Amino acid sequence: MSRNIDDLLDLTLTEIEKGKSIEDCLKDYPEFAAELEPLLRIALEIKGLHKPEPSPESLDAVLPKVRQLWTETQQSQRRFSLAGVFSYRPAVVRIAAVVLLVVLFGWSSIALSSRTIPGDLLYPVKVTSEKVQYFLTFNDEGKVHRRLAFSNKRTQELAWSHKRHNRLDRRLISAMLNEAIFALKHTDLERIEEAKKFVEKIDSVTQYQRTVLEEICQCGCSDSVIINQAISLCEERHNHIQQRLNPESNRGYTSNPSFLYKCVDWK
Amino acid sequence: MKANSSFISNEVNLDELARLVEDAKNSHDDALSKLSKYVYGKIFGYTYYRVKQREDAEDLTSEVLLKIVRSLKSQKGNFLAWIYRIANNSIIDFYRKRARRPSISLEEIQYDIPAPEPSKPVFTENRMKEVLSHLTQEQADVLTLRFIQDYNNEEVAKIMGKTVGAIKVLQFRALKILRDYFRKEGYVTKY
Repeated sequence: MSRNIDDLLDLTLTEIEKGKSIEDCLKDYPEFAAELEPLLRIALEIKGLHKPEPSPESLDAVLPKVRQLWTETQQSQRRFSLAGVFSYRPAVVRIAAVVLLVVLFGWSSIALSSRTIPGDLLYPVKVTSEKVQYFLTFNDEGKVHRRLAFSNKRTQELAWSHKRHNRLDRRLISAMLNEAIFALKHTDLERIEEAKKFVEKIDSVTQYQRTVLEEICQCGCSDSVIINQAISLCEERHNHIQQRLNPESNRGYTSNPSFLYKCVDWK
Repeated sequence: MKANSSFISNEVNLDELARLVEDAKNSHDDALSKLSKYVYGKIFGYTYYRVKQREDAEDLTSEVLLKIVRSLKSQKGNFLAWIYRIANNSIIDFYRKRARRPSISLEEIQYDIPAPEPSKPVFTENRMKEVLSHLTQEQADVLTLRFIQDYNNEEVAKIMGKTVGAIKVLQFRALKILRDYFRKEGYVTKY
């Protein structure tokens, strides 16, 4: 009942606001008329009261203060926004510090891992950073450069590894040769004039690999079968490249592409 | 920035008001001026029946307007609800400060209510001020916003952060308390 009369009061008030008389409204709800009537009359008396308006003088007095306060607030907010980033927001500083530490740690790890060989603690960091670099390289030219750089690194690692442990790391020698093959695969030998500078680089890397392998061989390597096969492969690649670069002077040479482009997997 | 009193009574619809608030926040001088006049009119109408003296209502309104301008940039949500909340808190502070003064207390505040005369309306401004003091804060707010400031129930509900149903209940209870008060006082027989 109470709930109903809340709604009825509101309904009749709305009807009266639209122009209906109290008496007409009450006729529609005779069972509630006795209770509604005084409430409606009080509501209408309140509505009929004078609507107060401030004096123009009081408004004139406050408006200059409003403008002054607004200017001051703007200035203080500008000062806050310049200095506030670090002095009032410790969370921002903490996040920035964490990011800086992570970047520093990552950068120093990569720098320290540059002279590592397989088996060292930081060697996985080196390999991972190379994979990321390769993943972030989008053009063929860049990919060839990356592959050649990786091939050079494996060659250096092979030399360091042999010097330190006096044995041939078969995985490294495979990786060294394969990286050069991948570089060669990215190069279009059919358009040799355009690819000339890359092919020359690949050839120079191949020559460097052969030199390192021969030095290892001279130092007395127990794994002579593998090392001789690797040297032969380097020679074959060099000859193939030279024939492509200078077909006239290497007329008698016939290459075997399936052998040249085959990845090795010595374990 | 000369006050134009006619603007005060001009109604601004909710879309216009939202635009005005955004423009004022973006430091458009004209918008800030218009918004200040609008807010001043609205808040004065709200405080007028809540304090005894007109001068007190004007001082309170100026104080509320300055508070609003100070925090305008960070204002979020329903603007009307926000300004009436600030006004309401300022009225509470006003009476709290008065109550602390030894010479004047809440109980001592007297309204100059003339003796009822059958030929004149029973509701005067001072009587309205007096009867509102017999209601709860929320009941007084509903009557002021609904019947003095002429907002509809949906608008009152948004301003007060309540449902329309809750506003209807508050409205009914407030009017019932006033009816009982007048009956008890005995000087208004028609209720």
